[in-house]
Amino acid sequence: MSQTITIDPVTRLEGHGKITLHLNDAGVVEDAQFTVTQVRGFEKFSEGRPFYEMPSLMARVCGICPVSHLLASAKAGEAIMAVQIPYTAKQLRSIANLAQMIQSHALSFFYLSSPDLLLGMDADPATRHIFGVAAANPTIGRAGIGLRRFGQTIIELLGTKRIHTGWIVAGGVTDALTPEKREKILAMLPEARTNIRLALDWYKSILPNFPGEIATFASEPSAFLGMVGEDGMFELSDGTLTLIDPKGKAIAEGITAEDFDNVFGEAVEPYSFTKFSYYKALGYPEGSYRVGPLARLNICKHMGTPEADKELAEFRQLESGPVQSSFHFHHARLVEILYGIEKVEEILNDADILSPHVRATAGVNRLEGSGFSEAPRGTLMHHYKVDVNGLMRWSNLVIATGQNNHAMNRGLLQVAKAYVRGNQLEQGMLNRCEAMIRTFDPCLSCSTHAYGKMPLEIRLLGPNRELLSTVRR
Amino acid sequence: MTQSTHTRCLILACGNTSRGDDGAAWRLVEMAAIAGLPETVEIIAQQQWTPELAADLAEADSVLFVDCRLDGAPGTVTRTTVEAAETAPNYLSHHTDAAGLLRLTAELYGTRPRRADLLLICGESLGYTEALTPVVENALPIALDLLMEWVQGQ
Repeated sequence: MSQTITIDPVTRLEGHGKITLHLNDAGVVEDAQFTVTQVRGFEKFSEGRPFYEMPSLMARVCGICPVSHLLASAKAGEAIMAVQIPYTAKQLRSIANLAQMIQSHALSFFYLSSPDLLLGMDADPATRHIFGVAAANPTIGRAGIGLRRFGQTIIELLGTKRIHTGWIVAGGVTDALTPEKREKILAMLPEARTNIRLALDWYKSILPNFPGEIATFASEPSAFLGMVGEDGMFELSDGTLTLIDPKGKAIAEGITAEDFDNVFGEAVEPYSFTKFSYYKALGYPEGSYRVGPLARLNICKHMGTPEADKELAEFRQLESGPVQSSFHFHHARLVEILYGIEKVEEILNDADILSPHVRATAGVNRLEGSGFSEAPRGTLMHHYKVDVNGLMRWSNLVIATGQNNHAMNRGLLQVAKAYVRGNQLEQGMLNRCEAMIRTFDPCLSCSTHAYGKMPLEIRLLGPNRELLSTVRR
Repeated sequence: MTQSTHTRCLILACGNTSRGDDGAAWRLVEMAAIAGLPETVEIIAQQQWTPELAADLAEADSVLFVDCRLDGAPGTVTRTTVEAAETAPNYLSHHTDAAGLLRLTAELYGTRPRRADLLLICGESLGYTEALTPVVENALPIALDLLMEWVQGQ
């Protein structure tokens, strides 16, 4: 008798999703789907608003990565204004984006995924969370909290708020950095370095415990998309995009924000509200690709900071050619945190970082503009059209989760086939399905978070959709 | 387990100022700041109490959690002692509650504030507005008195 297993909602994600596994008569997985069940609608309700309001409006999409939305939106606005922003504004925005990446990666790695890594995929769900980590390894728990606090404090120092700062605007930033704030950030760096070193060493020590997960967590070869700076250097804020094939060869390079819609398309599947991005030249789904930390480390030629470059060299020993297993998103995230700490220090020591010239002003000089940035989860693109008065007529956002959507669904099928047996359902099997999704750290409806207990319900349905059994936790 | 030897007092406000009475805690701490607080008092207002606040709690001598809830007569204000959770909460997202935060602080840092209290304001509506309902608005002076009394007692 065939069955359907539903995991709804998937826990320890940004937002809410659902996993559905279709089993055949023998209880073997035949198909799997990852469904995003929420609708946002920011593109629609922003119509009619002035374009210069868009950064603050769009940042509300996400409570975890608002800086990336601020940045992409501000850059789209700057394309409409047709201005170049001051050098110092670019540098300050880079610090904010790095700080956000650090705190977001810390949340993903330490709060959401380290329970699986530390306590095991088969551990009791009642202990598989940050409290369980605190009890089992307080040192790792403190490192995670320290890194998240580090990133949040930098954002707060720059923009006066930890979340949804209005400091980044079309044209630059609203306020220059003060010497006092610069010194405060510099003073936090040694502890942050200690914490990430500790986390990297610990992670590498437990990596051999997960050969099965490494082999089955979305490890199918795919293309990768990510931002690079000059000379192919790692970049998160101001660069162009490169797409590489599964063997690492560049398919497209130098892609600008203006090019994005010409190069990439979005497909729709009936089971999810999230779209599926693809490279138009190859069509859908053949042109599907992955974005995010794994993609960025596979694409860049070098990180550009000493310690992160050493870690990149080690990371590239994990596989021959581009690292394909999505399990290694975790490793890539830690390398990016290390880079972020080094890069923040480098930028803060820039001679012009305290310059008061941080904002360009202009009116509407174009009726269309696009901007992108690298969010913690991957490439983020904002595309706007305005009328002559600068009022929004149309907008489109392409988010990282949509670009990883096809890979997540393929990965779900891969891991479910490897671990799930319908006739002997166990928590650890289903947790591996969730854990595979968590490696991508998808942002489903980032600004929405459940209050209280997030129930996980697994439903076994018969061929006529009758409920056979339910497991709750 | 040790108790903090710091002199810092922490006031942790929780709520969403876009959801009616859920913003009561934010309004209250704004009023307290305007009324004037000693330099040793630090206010942190967030939409959720997140685990990283444990690092702040580890450095605090005393803490007052301020929150809004709906399970009581609207406008009622209470201040009670709060203890660390005896068992780990079933934590599956990014936030926790006062008792959970105290437990996390103890497990991670081996210390806890000497004193922890919870000031609760019962709300009437969590609708999509930045305004408080009149009954909660009228209760804020009472809540402010309780908050200031707590500060003076530290």
